[in-house]
Amino acid sequence: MSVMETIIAALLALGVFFYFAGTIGLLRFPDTHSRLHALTKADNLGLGFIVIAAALHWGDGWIAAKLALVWVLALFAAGMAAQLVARAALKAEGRE
Amino acid sequence: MSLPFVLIAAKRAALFALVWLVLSGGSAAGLGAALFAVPAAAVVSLILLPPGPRRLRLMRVLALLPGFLLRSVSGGVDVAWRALHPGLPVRPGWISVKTRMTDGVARSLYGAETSLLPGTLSAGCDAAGLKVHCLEVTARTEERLKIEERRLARAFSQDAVSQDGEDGRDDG
Repeated sequence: MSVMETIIAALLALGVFFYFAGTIGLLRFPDTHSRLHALTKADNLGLGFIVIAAALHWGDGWIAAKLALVWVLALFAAGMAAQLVARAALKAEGRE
Repeated sequence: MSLPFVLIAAKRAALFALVWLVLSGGSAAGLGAALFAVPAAAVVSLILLPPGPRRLRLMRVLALLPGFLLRSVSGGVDVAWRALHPGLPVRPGWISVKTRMTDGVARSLYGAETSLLPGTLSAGCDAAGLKVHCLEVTARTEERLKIEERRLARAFSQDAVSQDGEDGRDDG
């Protein structure tokens, strides 16, 4: 395994680790809103590491730009979606 | 059509052209389709999100990006640590933060941003302010949110923070 392959494998493992941690949080955290924290934040980080790994694997500037675009859009969508789900969950609990 | 409007339309078209360039991987093959898709996207964006009173400055947003990414990494690490810790160190609570981000776009962005930062999750606002869910309410939570608000305010052409400051608005 070359140095680059090792780095890529390590980044992929890190990405998978954060997805895993996010899912554990989803299962273990006590309430809807805490679970949302786990999903949005940990999964974004997981996606980030996988995006970097994929960009290094292909070693192409255009593909890297495309992957970066995917990540930024996912980050933005996660932040917005988290707010909307959080607000909807509050209404469902009758606290608003 | 005023000049600022034309300028905004041109800026948005440039942004969509850049996205097209990235999506097509720099190939010239789809140029014909781009000539249709880019203006169409710009028109739709102007209809769905008309230029507001305070404009987001792209360059300043880009300047904020590295710091934000770093803090969102610490947000992910923080939540992963809490999820995997055997003692489950989560004591969720709500705080209400008076936000001075008065228009919808700025407030949504602020909410989205804070939702990706360590320990905080925005759940819309009521008259009392932004409702923020915290994994652990500490003395510093509100202070950190204020710092973030000031940071984000700099990304707008005019100060997105209104002068009187305290006009809570219900957009829930």
